[in-house]
Amino acid sequence: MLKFILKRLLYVPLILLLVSFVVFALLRLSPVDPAFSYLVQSQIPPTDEALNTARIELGLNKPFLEQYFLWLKNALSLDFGISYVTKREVLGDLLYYLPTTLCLTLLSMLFLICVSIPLGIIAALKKNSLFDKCILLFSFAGVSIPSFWFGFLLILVFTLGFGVLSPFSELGFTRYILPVLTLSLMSLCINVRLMRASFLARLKAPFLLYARARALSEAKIARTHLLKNSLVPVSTSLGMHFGELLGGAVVVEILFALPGLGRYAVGAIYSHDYPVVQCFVLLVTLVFIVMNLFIDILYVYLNPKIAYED
Amino acid sequence: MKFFISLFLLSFSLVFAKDLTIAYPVNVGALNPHLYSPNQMFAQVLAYESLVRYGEDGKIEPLIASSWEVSKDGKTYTFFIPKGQKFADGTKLDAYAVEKNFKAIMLNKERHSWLGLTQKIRAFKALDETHFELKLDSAYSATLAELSLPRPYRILAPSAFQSEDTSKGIKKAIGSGAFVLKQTRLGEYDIFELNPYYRGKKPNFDRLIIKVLPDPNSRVLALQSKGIDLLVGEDIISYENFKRLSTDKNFVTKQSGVQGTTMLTINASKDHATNDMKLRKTIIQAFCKDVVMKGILLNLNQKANQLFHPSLPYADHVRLEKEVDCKSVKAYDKKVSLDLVYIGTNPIQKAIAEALQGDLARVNIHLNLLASEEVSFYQRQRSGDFDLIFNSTWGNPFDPHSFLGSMLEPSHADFMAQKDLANKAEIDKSIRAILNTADEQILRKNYDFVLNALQESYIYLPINYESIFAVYDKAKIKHFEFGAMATEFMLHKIELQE
Repeated sequence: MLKFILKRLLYVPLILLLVSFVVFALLRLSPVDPAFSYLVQSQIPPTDEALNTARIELGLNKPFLEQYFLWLKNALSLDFGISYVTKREVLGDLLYYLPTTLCLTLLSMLFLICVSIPLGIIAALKKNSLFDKCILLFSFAGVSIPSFWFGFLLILVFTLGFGVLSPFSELGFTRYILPVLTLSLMSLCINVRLMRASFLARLKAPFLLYARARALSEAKIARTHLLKNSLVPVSTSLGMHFGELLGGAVVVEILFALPGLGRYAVGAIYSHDYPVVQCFVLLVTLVFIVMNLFIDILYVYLNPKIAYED
Repeated sequence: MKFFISLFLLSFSLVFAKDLTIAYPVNVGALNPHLYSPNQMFAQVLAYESLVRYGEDGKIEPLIASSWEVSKDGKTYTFFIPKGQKFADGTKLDAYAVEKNFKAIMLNKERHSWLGLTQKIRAFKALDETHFELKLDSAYSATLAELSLPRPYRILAPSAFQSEDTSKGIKKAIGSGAFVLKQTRLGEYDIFELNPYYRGKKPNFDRLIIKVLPDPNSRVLALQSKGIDLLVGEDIISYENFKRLSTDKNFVTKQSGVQGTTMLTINASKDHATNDMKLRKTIIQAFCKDVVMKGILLNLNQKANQLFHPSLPYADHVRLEKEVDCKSVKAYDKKVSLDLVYIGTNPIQKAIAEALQGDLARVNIHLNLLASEEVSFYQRQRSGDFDLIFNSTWGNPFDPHSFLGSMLEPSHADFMAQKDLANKAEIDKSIRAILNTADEQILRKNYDFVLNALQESYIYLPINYESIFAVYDKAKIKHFEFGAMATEFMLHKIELQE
């Protein structure tokens, strides 16, 4: 296992290198001239002289590969450049915004695990009951509602209606309640259905019969056999949900005015702020790699039969 | 004991401090008075003052300078700066401080070259503590108007200079405006406090909090839920929300005076079908503007029939053609297909483009609507890669003087659209004459020529005269007024309810 983890960690620099090159190339393929974009953002008239000066200032007059290696050299010393828009250091800004996004994503993940797993199990145990049908309806509705609309609905009901949980107050724990509900709704609904299906499938599994034959208590069967086995497919989907939540955080951060990474990155994409986009993609790639590794390790805990061997 | 008394006083002041809270899509920036983005113009006006102020109806009013004299040839301006003025940190505001700022601004002359005045300044110096002299290469009638802009000619306290060159950064945002920037939290808020040395009347609140709310609908919900007290600014509130809140008894809605013109620029250059004046005239006449004013702009703006609002200086002599019924305009001789470029994320531009597409279909003109992202849009404006493109004038105090000046620059859509006009050389000559004189007669004569030549060339399809919207909570704010510039919100003049 340790060998597996070390091997995966060794891949990290290679993946980051590849991603950085692809993103660097894709950004340069865009028809928008980054020097022009820089001048527009700096509100400097884009005359020919200004464009030439900007190209030299930003190193855009050099050949593509030279530009990339220069960027890479600086990046290795954690210098990701200065934002065209904010004129601040890119890495510093991204690290400033990252905790809000991680907090929002992890809280949403926690909420979705805590709610979807019990709901899925109860729905499976009470199959075809009224509760199960209500859960089915809720799941369909939940995956169909766009998150920005659901967010506005929550603000209308809670903030304007009951005068509580205002997303426009000081940044504290309560400010995360409505954003977490908004962000996790879709993934939660998907996960409830998945958990229900997975649990139902395990209810008919032969190992249950053998467990009962061994006179194990129902509680122990449910805890150590049924639940753990049902969680294997769910944990795969949790890895994907993490990506969904991280991506969906953009909309939620804009809607609820949270100072997060997604909101900052979207602004940078709109304004062709290349240094920010470049560093943002790398940072998110790193978060994904770490999260996937965590999920892979979780598999082994849930089902020791899964072994990562060379 | 002293500690407990100060602690008590501090908590007392925090509990009873009166705040005014507004919303803006981004933080105000480091508030360097001599630089552009990310410094926000409205905030630069809050913290810094200029020598003079652009007042109502374009009248220039005293600000740091209490009076000024202009030499007979219009080339020398002498400003009188009264003694006893102070910056927000208590340091002296005199002619030497002004000189230091002008030095810093002119070190980055290239960056400010878009302003006619920057190109004209030959010399400047503090004659003594109370007199500042500005010498120009030639007379320039917009000198005082351009000195009053939110940037770059605003005065930073010498104590806040990091080096002679302010473009490399400043120590602190210290000016002589009504407010001082005290705290910034990125992506969350900026807090301003009152300048203790401000000369004007102090507002009846203690702090100005500017919350960062990027989404327009969230801003309205914040206002309705009392998270903020006032919404003001360009594109801060949508037409629909403004109209809706105007009928809500809890809020007051206000509109500023005219702040520029929104129009479509039609490319008359040789390599475009729109080079044909008859086609341009057909486009302008077939556009049912009244439908757009009512259905899209909800009758909140005035309809525009000329490039500049007639109330602006020298813009009242434009010869307007008799309006024709847009639905009975004769079809163009042959079928043509044209490209209209608009910013894809701008719903108003999209809706107007669609309305025009429908109107032009009646007269044999097929309009391709090209949704462009913002930077590409400006790239197209600059390169002249459009048949029709959205455009707007710069508003007060740039209109009409500085905006006409920009028509000489190849980096502007106007230049690209006009470059092949038969009378372009004459238009440019007249614009240059306007930029190099302060003589009323010469100004009048040349303005009359340029504005009428542009009107008769059919390269502009004026749509509406823009204004700034403001909505505020009636229970919190007693009085609010707009400034004469689009980015001057006069927040220091706001009166909160007792």
